[in-house]
This record gives sequence, C-alpha cells and structure tokens, in this order.
Amino acid sequence: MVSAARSGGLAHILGSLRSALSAEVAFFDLTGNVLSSAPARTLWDFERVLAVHRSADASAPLTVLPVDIDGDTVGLLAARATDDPQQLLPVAIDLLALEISKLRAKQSGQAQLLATLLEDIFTKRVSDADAAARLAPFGIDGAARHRVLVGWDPTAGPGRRQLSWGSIDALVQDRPDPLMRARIGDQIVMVVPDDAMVQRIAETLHAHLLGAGRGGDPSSVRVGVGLAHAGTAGLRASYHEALTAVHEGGGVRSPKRVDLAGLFVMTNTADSLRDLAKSILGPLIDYDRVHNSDLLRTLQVFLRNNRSIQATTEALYVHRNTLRYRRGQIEQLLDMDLDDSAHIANLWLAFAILDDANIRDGE
Amino acid sequence: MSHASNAYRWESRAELATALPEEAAIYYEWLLGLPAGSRPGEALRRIGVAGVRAPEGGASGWIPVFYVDDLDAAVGRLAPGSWRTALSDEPGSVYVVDDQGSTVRLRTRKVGEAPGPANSLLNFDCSALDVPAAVRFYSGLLGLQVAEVAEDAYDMRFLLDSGDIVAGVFQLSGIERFEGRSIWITYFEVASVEESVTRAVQSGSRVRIPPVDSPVNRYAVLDDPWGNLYGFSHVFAVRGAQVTGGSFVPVGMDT
Repeated sequence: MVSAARSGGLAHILGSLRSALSAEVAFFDLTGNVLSSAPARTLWDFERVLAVHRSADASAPLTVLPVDIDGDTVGLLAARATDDPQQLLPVAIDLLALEISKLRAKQSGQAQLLATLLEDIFTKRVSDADAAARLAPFGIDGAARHRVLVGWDPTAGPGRRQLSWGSIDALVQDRPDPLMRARIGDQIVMVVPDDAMVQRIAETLHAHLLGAGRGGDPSSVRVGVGLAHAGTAGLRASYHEALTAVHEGGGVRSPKRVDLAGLFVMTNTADSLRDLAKSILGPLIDYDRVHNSDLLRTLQVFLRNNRSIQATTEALYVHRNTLRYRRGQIEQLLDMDLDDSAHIANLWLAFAILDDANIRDGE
Repeated sequence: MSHASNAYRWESRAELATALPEEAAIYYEWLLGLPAGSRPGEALRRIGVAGVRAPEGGASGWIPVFYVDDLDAAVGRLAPGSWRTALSDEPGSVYVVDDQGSTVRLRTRKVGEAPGPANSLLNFDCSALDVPAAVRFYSGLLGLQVAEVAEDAYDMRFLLDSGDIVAGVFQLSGIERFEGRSIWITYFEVASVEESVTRAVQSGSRVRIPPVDSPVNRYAVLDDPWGNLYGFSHVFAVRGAQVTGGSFVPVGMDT
C-alpha cells in the first residue's frame, strides 16, 4: 500500500487496499462526492456511509473511518467489510491524509495567487488594465460581467478554516478549478460569470462551507452574492455588495438593489476623488481640528440615521438642542442646506469616498 | 470476425422526469455550456433530449428513448417474465420496465421516415444486477447483437447494431441506493470529463463515479441536485474495432 501511494496516488492506494481486504472500498469527501473507489465502477450510498460514520447504522456490513488533516476531518474511507485483521485501514487513512496534503500543497499556490490579486483589485492597489491581464490565466475575462460571492462561517474553527478554501474534488483531479475559491482573511471569495447558475453556485458554496458531514447550523454560515458588474472595477463593487450582504445575516443573501453611491466610489479610479471629497468636507475637518469638536462625525451620523433628530441624538448621546446647534454650525461652515436633496447627495457621496479611502489606507 | 466502430450510433434520445423540470433544464443547459434557447429545454432538444418533465406516476430520472420500426414486434420478441409496459401519453410510444426494474421508452419511427441521424452527443449504459439477463432482454427488445468487451474488468457487454454501439451493459455494484434494481445511465458527450465534473460539483451535483476509463471512453457518473443520476463521457478516437467470436476489441485507440 505504501508503494502504491508512492507511485500512483489515491486510485492506487484504494486499489491496493481492495486487494488486501478483498472488499470494495471508497473514499468520500464530506459532501458525499466519491473521490476514488475500487473497483471504479461502484455506485455507493453516501447516506448509508454517513449513518455508519455517525454510528447510527451498526448493522451495516461496512467499516467507515474518518480521514483527518491537522485535526480536521476532510473525508471518509469506507470498506464493504466488517473485519480488518491486519489493521490495514488505519494505515490507509494515514496514506490518504498524506496524499490529500500533497495535492493541497500543489494547488494552494495558485489559489493564493488569485487571492492576492483579488485583494489588490478590491483595494484598488492595481490598475484595471493590469488586473484584467492578471485575471486571464485564472479563466476570468476581466471585461465580462461577473458577480463576486463571499462565504463566511463565523463559527469555523482554525482547522476547518484552513480546509474550506476549495473543492477537494478539484484537488483530487489535480486540475485548475474553473470556479476557483480564494481565501482572503477568513472569507472564501469566488468570482463567477453572471449567468443562470449564480444562485445555485452560491447555495453549493453555502452547503460546502456548512459541510454535510458536520451537521452544523445552516443559519450560522453566510454567503453574500454581489450584483453583476462588468470590468475589474465592477468586481470591486460586487465584492463590497457581497460583503454588505454577508453582514446582514446567515444563509445566502444578495443586495436588493444597486447602491449607486457605493458603485460610483468603488468603480471610479480618478485620483482626484478624495481631494474633491475633502474640498467639500474640508471646512468641517479643519474646524474640528482647531476646536477639538465633533462636527464631521455629527454630520455623518445624522446622514446615516436618515436625518432623524431622535435617532442621531441617541447615537451620539447628545441633547437635541446640542444637535440643533451643531447642525446650524455645519450648514454655516459648509454653506449648505441640510434640507436640500442635491446637497445631501453630495455629502453622502463625499462620506462614501472618504470611507473607501480610509479602508484602503487601513484606517 | 467483423469490423465494428466505437461510435454510439443508433437513433435515440433521452428524457428527464424530475422534480422542478424547468429549473433542471436550465441547470443542464448551463452545465453543458449550451446557448440558452427561448425557453428552458429548447437548447437540450438540440442535443437529443426529447423532454424534461415532472414524474407522473412512472419512473423518474433520465430515461433512454430508443427508436424502433415496429413497437409491437419489439415487445413481441421478449420472453415471458416480470417485465411490463406502461402507456405513454404519446401515440406510437411506450415505456418498458424490465425484469430488474429499470425503464426505457420506445418510440416508433414514422412509416416511410428515413432513420434519423445517429446521436453522438448522448450515450447510454445499463448498470444491471444480472448482466446476462439484461443483455438477453435488451438485445431481444431492440433486435441487437451482443459483444463481450475483451480484457475488461467490469463484466461489460456492448449491444451492437451492425457493429456500431447502441449501449453498454455493466455489472452494477453497491445497490442500496437503487433499492435492488438495475438502472440506465444517460451520458453527455463533453470535451473534458474532468472539467465538466468540477463545474458540476461546484454547482450542486455529487460525484458517484469519479472520472475513469472504459475501453472506449472516459466517463464519470454524478447525481444532479435533484438526485437524478447522469454521466459525462468523452469517447476515444478509435480507428476501428473487431468483433471476434462475440468479443469487442477496440483497435488503434487515441485519446
């Protein structure tokens, strides 16, 4: 079996195990995909395998053992046998774990490259033309309409996080994954063409993150689906939309409509945007600096609370007269009317630009 | 000895009886990279899928549709047994449920109609509990010759029409899922089985048999998101084959 592992990977390990045990054997990932089996043409019942693994079906003529890597179960080895007199199965699961680790190391380089590139795109650290050229080797047409999916499992332990970056199936086949998953921080990010299958791919990502074999709480895992936009700047916008959806709650979620201000900020790469925003809000920034006041934040909280006096005073812990006074100061310094829709739109956009700039600066 | 080709040549179609047929049709069209038609299922028709419909009391899943000249003659060739026929909602067509519980549909070629083009985008195999019985049944039903594949580990037979493959018959192992019945699997011809499988897994299909070679093709078997069994196939370029004493021997195979 060790010799088989050295020479031929999963298929050889299972072939050798089958011969030694004189029994059908198969190796599954936790969502029920058969990664390899011997003989190859065998239709297994994964639900039965899973039941035996959970000790719910002790009568089955099967032995099922977990294959672990770094303390995290990544697959199940099943043998249509109840006896293992030579203790071959424990050896086999060690060899399978080694094989998966080897394959993962091989592919993780490519996934890491994509993750770095996407991070550069999302934070505007790369020009759109350069980004499009660097996306091409990953099979992503930078000019086409795509959506970004962001998956996040807030309850995932460190071991599980390491393993959920991609499909074990693609790993085993040792082929580029046409829908590659990249890990950025604790998020799984996918870039998918805007077609009829987006929702299903998002649901599949959700199911994979949840892990059918782990029996977790479906509402704990979150997948955000950004809206469809063209170009690499569109990827940035879609990523932020997906991120917003993730923060809204569990399950698969998508924003109901386009946030035009957000879209404008995410897709516009003109360097002067931040200067324009500062020229609009500059009088408040300068005044706060000199007088150690809080007018900029007051205005931002006021706008975020839809100009509600009550909500704003509660958020800032100030009296309504204080807020009224500050509002007068703000209107005077900016020479703007906070009941004027055009002025409000400008201010909203200016804050969106500064927020984005601050995120990029790591503030 | 006679010459044979490895091409799947027989006028055949397939139909899918499934929950959420419209959604399933969109799924398969996306999976196979078919440009969408004006309604779900239209693009599938172009590759030989006769229809995607809800199960109506009968079998569900992918069902092969074989064309025959004479429906009564076809059924009349069968020996008595526990097989049965079930009426189809279409005149000149009938479902046949074999002794081992799997279903095919027969359709009559219209009188005077020339045989349609061979369907090279779909092929079929029967994963049988009892291979000799399945071979007897379907060779009788469709009036075909039988050849055992030389040097194959899976007890595989081909049903042949003038040397061309109509379908394969395999020994089925691991039968719990199918409650002890044989099953027909419909395969879609694709450029790369591995790429198609990866795409399918990312969109909710589940791999039942990972990519593997048979004597004539590379194939994989999956469940779609609704639990219907299907396969991908890439037929090898074979320059010919010989049928010698009932054995099918591919010759000059290129991948």
